[in-house]
Amino acid sequence: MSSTPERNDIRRMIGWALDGEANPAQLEQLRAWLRADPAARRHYVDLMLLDTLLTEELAPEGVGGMIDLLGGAGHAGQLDTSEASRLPVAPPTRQTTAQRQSSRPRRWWPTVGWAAAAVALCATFLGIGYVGLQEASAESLVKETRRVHQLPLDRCYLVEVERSREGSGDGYGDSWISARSGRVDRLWTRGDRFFLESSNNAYRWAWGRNEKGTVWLAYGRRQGLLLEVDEQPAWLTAWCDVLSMQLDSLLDDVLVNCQLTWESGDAEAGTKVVRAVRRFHRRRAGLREARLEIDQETKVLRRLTLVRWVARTRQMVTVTYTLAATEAQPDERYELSGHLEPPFTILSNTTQPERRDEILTRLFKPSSRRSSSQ
Amino acid sequence: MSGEPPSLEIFVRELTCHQTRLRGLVRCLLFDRKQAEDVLQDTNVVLLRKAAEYQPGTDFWAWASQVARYQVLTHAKRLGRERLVFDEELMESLAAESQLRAASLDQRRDALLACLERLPAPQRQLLEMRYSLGQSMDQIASTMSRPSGSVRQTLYRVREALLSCIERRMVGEASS
Repeated sequence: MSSTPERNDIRRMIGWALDGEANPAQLEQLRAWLRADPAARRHYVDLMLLDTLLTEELAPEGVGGMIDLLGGAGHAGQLDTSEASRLPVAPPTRQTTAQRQSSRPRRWWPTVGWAAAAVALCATFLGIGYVGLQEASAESLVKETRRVHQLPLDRCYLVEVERSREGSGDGYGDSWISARSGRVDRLWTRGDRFFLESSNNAYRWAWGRNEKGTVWLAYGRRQGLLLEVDEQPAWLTAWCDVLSMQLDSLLDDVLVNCQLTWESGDAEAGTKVVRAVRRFHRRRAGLREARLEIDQETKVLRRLTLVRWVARTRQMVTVTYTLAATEAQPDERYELSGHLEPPFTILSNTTQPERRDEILTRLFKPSSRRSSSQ
Repeated sequence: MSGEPPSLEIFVRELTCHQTRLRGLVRCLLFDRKQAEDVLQDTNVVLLRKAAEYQPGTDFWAWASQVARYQVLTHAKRLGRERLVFDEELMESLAAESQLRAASLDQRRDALLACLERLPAPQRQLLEMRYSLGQSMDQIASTMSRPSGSVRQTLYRVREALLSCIERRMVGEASS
């Protein structure tokens, strides 16, 4: 790059182009610079590779990334500062209603996306399915479990999140120390719908997602708020997907990237246990291990344990879902109104939106309770 | 489980190992991040279709990178000349430059992780807003109540600082 001012201009221009902020004239100028100057080309490639690595290291891994957030948050109402700053004031994601309403899981980019495609394509084009990637019987049991989970039944899971005080350094294992006993919340799911209720009688809250994809929050008995699909930050959408246990995505990851082995199940309880350990060495954070406890007869997932390494906080996070009940729930339970007593107030994007955002910010800010609990 | 890994497993392992290099190569040839991801997925699809042709022990990267470059060219042609950012000649130069760096991507990643740990919290938060949440400059500016220009400038400086840090660490590793 010839002169310092021009070099700085080129570097800035590359940055704009990288972020999709350059206009056609600027792109044309950049192209001319890149053609003429080998140093500019080197710097351009350096920045694009940096962008690639940042994308891989910092982008959430769909469901997995949100489990990381769960580990950092504990439960609704206890997000950390960086998350709190994102919530209501963060502009909406570009996700469309059609995307949310689609019955197909979204592309779990970057981890699961290509891998799931790989498996599907292997099956479609090569006609060999999963065989060879893991033992066929374990694989078919997991696939059957996924199918059963998609049935529109109401299931209650106890969700427990535990995290280590610090990582073991050489990866996962038995040596990490639980920082605190996990908090348990009750989660009801029916397909994409779910609701989560407070287990604290002194402070009642519930939140969930209804059939249309609207996320709602009830705080107390007479107040609630709604976040429509196009208002939800990406992390919240993904968090909801974790809570609704979208096993399609989770199990795709497990099937493709993990080595499956049998563990001795509980013969008396009629369960089989599949242990999934990540197959390939990867430096980045993500799923390290999963344990699926499956009812031998009904193929219902009795318990799912996910162990993840969170690079950002250098913590191991374990999320356990334990089936507590299968019992028909009224449709209203998946709606905000089903958790309020009249007369009640509902804040939305048309009713006092500023007030709604203010409450969300306050609710999701870290509280002194969180600090004291650690 | 099975004893000898079947060829499909070897293929998937190779594809997994080379995913970052492929992503980096495609990213260097296309400005738009989303388009780059789409082309990467197209590349994976083509590679998987051709999986049966892969001979374990041969140079996977040479083959896969050729497929990726072809996919980028196909994508560029589909977009039309008026929207083409790079012509073929420039693409070749950038691809060659990217190939040179590809071998050291793992070291770069290690260096980046170390550099990220030393980044001040506000700068780290800015990167997370950009990469974790995928927010645009205007969205970040709105969230942080700062002018867009200021956010752009900060992000530019953070990336430059990370590049310098990575270079220093890699030079240090090489000399030690």
